[in-house]
Amino acid sequence: MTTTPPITRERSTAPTARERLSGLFGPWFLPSVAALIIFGIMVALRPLVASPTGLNLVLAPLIPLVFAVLAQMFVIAAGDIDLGIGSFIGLANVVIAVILPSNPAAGILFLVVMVAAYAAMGVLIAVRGLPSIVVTLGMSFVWLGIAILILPTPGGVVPEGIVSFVRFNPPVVPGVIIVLTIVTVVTALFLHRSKYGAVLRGSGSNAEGVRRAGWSVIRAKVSLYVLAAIFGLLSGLYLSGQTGGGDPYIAQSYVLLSIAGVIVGGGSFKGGEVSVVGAVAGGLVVGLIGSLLQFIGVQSSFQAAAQGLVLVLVLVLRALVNWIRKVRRTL
Amino acid sequence: MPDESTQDTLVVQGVSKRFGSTLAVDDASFTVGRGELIGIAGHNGAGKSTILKVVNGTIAGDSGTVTIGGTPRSATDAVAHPEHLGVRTVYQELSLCASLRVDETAAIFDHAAKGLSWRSKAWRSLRAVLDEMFPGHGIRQDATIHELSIARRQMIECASSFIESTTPPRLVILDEPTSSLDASATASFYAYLEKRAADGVSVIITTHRLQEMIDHLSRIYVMRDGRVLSEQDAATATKDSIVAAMGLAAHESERPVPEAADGLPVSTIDAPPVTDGEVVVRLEQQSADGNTADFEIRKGEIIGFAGLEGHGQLLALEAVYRASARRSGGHRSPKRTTHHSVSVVGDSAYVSGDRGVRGIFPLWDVAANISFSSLGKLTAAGLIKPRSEGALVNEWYSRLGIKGSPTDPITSLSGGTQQKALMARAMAVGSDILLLEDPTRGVDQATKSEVYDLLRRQAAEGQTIVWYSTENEELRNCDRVFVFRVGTIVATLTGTEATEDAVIALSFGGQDAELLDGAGPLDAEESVR
Amino acid sequence: MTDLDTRLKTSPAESTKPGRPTLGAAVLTVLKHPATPAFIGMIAIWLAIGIIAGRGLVETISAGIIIATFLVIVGIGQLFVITVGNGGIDLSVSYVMTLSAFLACQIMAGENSNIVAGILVAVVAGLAAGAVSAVLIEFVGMPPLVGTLAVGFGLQTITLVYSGSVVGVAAPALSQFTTAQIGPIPIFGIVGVVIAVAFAIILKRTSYGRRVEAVGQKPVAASFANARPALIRASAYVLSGGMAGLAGVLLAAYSGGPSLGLGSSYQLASIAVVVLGGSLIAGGRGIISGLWAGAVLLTLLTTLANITRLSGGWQFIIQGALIVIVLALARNPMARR
Repeated sequence: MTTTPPITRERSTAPTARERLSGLFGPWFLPSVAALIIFGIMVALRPLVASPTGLNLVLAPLIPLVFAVLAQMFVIAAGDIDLGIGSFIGLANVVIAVILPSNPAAGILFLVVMVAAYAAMGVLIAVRGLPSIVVTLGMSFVWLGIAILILPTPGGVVPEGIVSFVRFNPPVVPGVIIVLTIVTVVTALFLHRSKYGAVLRGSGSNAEGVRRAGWSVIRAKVSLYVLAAIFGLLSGLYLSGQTGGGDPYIAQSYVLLSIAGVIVGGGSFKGGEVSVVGAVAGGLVVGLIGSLLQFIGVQSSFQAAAQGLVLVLVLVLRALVNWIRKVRRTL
Repeated sequence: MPDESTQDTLVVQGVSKRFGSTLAVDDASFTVGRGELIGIAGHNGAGKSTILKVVNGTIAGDSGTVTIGGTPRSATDAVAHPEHLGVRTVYQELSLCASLRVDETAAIFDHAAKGLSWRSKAWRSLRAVLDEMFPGHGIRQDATIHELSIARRQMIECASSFIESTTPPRLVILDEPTSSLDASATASFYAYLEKRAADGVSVIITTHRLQEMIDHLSRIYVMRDGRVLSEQDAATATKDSIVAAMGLAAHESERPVPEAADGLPVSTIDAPPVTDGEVVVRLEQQSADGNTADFEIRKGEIIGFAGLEGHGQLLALEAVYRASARRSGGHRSPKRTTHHSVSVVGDSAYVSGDRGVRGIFPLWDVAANISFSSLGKLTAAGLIKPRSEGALVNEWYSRLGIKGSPTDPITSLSGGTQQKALMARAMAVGSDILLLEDPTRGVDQATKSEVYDLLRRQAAEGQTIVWYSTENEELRNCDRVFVFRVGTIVATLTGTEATEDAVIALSFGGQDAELLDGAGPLDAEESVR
Repeated sequence: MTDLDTRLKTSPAESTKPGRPTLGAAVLTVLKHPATPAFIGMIAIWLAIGIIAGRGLVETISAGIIIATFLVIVGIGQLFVITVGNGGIDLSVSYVMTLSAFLACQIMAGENSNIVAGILVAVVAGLAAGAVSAVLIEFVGMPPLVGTLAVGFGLQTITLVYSGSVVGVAAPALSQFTTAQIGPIPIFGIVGVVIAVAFAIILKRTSYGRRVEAVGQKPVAASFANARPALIRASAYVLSGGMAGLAGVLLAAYSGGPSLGLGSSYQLASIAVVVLGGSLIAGGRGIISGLWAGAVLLTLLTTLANITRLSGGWQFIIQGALIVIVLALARNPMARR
């Protein structure tokens, strides 16, 4: 597979050092290093963080965020942005805490309908050419409204099974590490190693080209929105298990954080340019910055700004790099 | 289909296609035999792309039939997935996904690559073609498309159209496939086509590199004004014979010569070119061989920018616009393009030929579209004076003979009338220089003559006109014509020298066709973004 | 000439569609106007309130017009941002409102003599926030969503920190002004109408307004016709910031003082009134008369929901679904996109 025929070698421009570097260190590399550095700082401040229990304590609250980032990643891969993911996760949380315990069948059906609604949203955006931002913003109020109707004030009890599943923590390897690894590997295998994954990414970057090659672009869009919904549900599931109750507003901050996670993780708003490992690392970076600030006693009100600032900084830096490249090319 | 081996792969009969008032394809018929390589030649706007799009079903024609592999279909039917018929098309604008790897790209084209090792399967089928088509292509399986040069992307695009996939290719249509390839890649590319042709794959190629067609293809159809005018055997054809067919064909046709329509003698332009006016535009040109040359445009002149589409005319015209001052007689720093440094004295107004994207404001009526560039002189205390606006619009309605009401939505007008409205918008400014970007594209003959008249009147009033045209016959309305090739001005034709034949011959290059190598779609690349 | 004159004599906000002199055609023109559905919806809900709750119609509309005025002011800024196109949207308005409410109330400190200074500070703060968004979007190249949201979160943090240390009170005269009535007519409601008319004139009858719509339709075409798209777009964000600042101080005066949740409902509502009013979400056509009707409609809808004791959940659902449904049904006169 990797053997190149001799004929290729004669004029093959051997990959330059820089090419080789960028090949080795994909878009996931920088965010992963950043996540490790932040984690390192936290360990330096409180060595206990490095213990299995400490690791679990620090990383567990980030699992729902990572799922939300992955959900956002699928939408951004489609060239869109999802402003409704926070309310959607909140609704999932409320359904799991209120409807699922009393009537499991109705609860599951409800969650399935939520996924179907996301698919319909994808169709609407693709077929009518609507701006995803406004549609998802409108839908976010629909999700939030439904959640409030079901549960006007925080409450409800998440089924014991879900709580113990989410809080499952085997003695040697922390549960969070297992979950993160499985999710990252499975998602990355699908998006980066399966053929339809390639079609999905391709449809986000050049829909017309993919259509000409004989694929349905609308089906691709719907697939991406369905995947986003499924990861939104998973995020809601983990939030529910961790908090044990329901709260419609629980995930409102995830809207900006999930976008920040994808962008920090090497994703681009152009569509099609996303990396699963990068997004997971980006989610961890954004989440860990919050934890770190909490560690050093920064007011919680500053945390949102700091996390937003990371997004702005990454985008400004990227614009700067592109600008320098452009100037260099014209010189 | 018992005798598929002897059947023609493609039979096109009597296909026509009209866009608005333009007959893009006019009763075109041709055939492509099994395993035959044919070329379609023609100057700008001859209808090459349109006929090929009707053949592969991307757009529906107005009449005629298209028979592929013995199965006829009406040309009025569009086809959603021509690849199921074994028809593959490579367009000039690339259709690769920038964020995908090479092997993933191959897999998108290769529907047969499935299973766990889909990437290596797809890569193997792409590499099989690539290695033969472009030996030493140097494309790696794991490279991402956006890291690759334009030439390599074009290689991948050409090669993927010959992948076996689930429906093997039967007819491959290539639109300017070699525009970014160098000489050796081009040679091996044609060698591959000849080999596949021996297996029965048929190929249609359009290219402006005429010598390539003569050297490598079996037959060449020459198109002009939407019609297939001549069929030449590549063995006997010469560059001159093809160029002659593209140009001279006009004189054989019964089409009225444009100037005849308004009764003005063609010789109006025989007056000696203005040489004493002040210089308003100066183009300093650095050509590839290091020579510099100056081209000056004087007040009141009509200058034509000619050549094949995408050879730098548009770039130069836009540079003149960007270099123009904001007010009449003003100065601004020169603007640079790849080949030119442009300095301008005075202000300018621009008439765009691509009306849909660069011209009209589709939500407005005609009046608002016309007055838009002149609002500065129509306001009092910050407010637009309705009376002044109405007067200005009415003045230009009558001066240009625009029909209908100023309150009609601009999109309800015909292409020609929209173009007049855009001319009115630019002329109403009363600028020193008027820049025209192919203003008569898709415009009917009567309007064209009116436009020519109008331009001569404007020039007589002292306005300088720079006019980029893809319709060579109208260049005779210019005082001087600059012919562009590969980004630089290669010739200046004065007055009666600016015949269609001269422009066509110059734009294809005399003996130095190699100049075209590596030219690429200049304008498309640099100005579209 | 007569044709053109009739067109230009119709009220500025209505002048996007040409009118013909015959009566039938005139009625048709009114019916086809993009703002008409918003007006019809507004009247329907107004009447529904009268019928369902048995409330006085005059009393209902005069209360509605007062509260809608805040939305009209914010919405106009949002309308300009959406109309310049290129995915334009301003998600920072709610945060700008809250911050400028706090700033202005601190400056006013309950003194009538400080009203001008307070309003000025609120507007300038908003303009500055809008300018930051404009730089991030037009010069750094961020998508409008991210640029404005980032600015919004920054402002939110500033507000959270800053509001802890100050207690501001709106000037009493300003508070009275927002609720004063001459007979049955609410003065503040009239102010809202005047502002709407002023901006309708700016949008339709000044060369700046024409450029805003032109850039929103075809930025490339506008750049070839002497308009500078990046500058025009940047100006819309600045304007939106200023309008949100103004709305913030007025709302604080109306509700007695600033609060952290002051602006939050305006983020979606400001977009909703633009969409409801018949402006194009893709840009290029802004309808301020429709926006005004949309704002009153949305306000009355809330009144109706309160009267019928509809839960807050339903109000969210109705608002959100309204936007999506209107978008899904709206015709897009620009074939592309």
